Amino acid sequence: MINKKNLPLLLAMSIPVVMIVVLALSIYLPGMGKQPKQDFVYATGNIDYSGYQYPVVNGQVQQIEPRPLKMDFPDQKFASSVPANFYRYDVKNNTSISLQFDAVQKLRLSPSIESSDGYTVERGNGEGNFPFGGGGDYNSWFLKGHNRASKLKVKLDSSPYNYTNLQFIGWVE
Amino acid sequence: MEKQQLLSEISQAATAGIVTQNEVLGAYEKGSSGVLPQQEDAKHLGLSGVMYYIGGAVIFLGISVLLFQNWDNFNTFTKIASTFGVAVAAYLVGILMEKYEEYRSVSQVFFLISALVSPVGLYVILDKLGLDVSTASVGVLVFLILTAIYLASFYLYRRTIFTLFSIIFGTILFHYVVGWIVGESLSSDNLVKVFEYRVLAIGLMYLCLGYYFKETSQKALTGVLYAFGSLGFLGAALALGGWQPNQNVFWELIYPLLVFGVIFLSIPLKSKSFLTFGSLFLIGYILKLTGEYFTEGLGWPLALVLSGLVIMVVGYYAVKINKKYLTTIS
Repeated sequence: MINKKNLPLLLAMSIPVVMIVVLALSIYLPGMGKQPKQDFVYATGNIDYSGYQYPVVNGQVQQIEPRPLKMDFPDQKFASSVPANFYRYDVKNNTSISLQFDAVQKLRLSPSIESSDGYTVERGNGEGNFPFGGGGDYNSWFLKGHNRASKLKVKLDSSPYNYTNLQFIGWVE
Repeated sequence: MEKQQLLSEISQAATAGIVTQNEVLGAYEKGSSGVLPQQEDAKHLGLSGVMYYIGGAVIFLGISVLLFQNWDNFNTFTKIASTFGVAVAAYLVGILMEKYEEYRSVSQVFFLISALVSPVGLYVILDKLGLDVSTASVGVLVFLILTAIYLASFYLYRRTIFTLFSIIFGTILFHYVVGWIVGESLSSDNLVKVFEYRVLAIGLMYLCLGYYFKETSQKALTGVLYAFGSLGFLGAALALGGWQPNQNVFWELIYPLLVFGVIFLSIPLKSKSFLTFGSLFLIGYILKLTGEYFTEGLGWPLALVLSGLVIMVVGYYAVKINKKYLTTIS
């Protein structure tokens, strides 16, 4: 039998516990038993707006060379003239496999943001520090879908300008 | 205090219903039997107590400056010794002093220094062990350890400072556990909502704890918990209401009930915090509604005049409640 005097204390202790349980259930239950199936291709290295562009047209990736800058210096090799590095992300084994551009062109890709099984590739939200932190990290990339997120082991190659960026190219069909 | 003045004040308090006959007789019996009421409330902190805490704050500041200036020059051992070592040493000094009645007040200051430095110390140790201390999981580990230590310390020594830091560390632990569970799963909009619900839950928890402590030896914390609890609860509930066109109708409609509930609870609970924050958030709610819904139809100047009048009414009744029911509450 609960002592009536201790009821406020029990209530105080149960409020955060109930919130944690409800939150955990609402986040993890919808994605229970669901695993991502579709691999994707991404590029790292020199992928800023002035560099090579890699649009997917009719299921195939294209390479658009950057326009030469008017104030070009003939002796200097600009970052924008260096092509990006490509990787295929194996979602089953959580690994990145390096690919040459020729190999990427042979793949049939979908440029849609969401995969056919409901996942997206997103950067961390950056919330992760004291005192109101989540588990976020702005420099990490995540596979998100069905209310769940798993950290991706992507290869973030530095460009000559030290950009550690990632460009999603498309889902492998 | 003059005898006549004392008797007159008791008569006035009896008229206002603040004291009962039994309470007056109980106090008289306690005094006549030689048992003096305890004066250990934080509210009645003497000048020496204030100096102790100022001294403690200066010591903490000195440690912080020392660490800040020399951090890069310290090796791993010195880094751990100057943070975690200081926390352990201060805690042990506090325990030793706690055993002697005359040093009991000073022991609180050493416990305070220990509580302030120990999270830094634990983070430094875990960092040197190679863990990524920016993650929520490490935050959970640090504050789980600290909450457990301070709850155990309270169980052993029954000091209010341990209860206070158990609540503070427990609150941070709750934040980290929620952050750990949420991780990267939610969008930034939903993260804001989760944050608001977190503050709402903490506010409600503080109100319940404050009410529970009222009848215990930890009653010195009741006022603080009521203040932070009502601030967090009403603030989060107001934020959950959102703003047009993304307002949440449920929270906007239920808010007047919550805010009037808090104001009326100030009377039975004899809490000025409930009255103050209840009145302030009622004013905030009126201004919010005016800004959201009445600026276009009535025009901004007229809406401001009307809301000003309503705020005056709120202020008048808040002062009236305060004078009638809470004047003797400090």
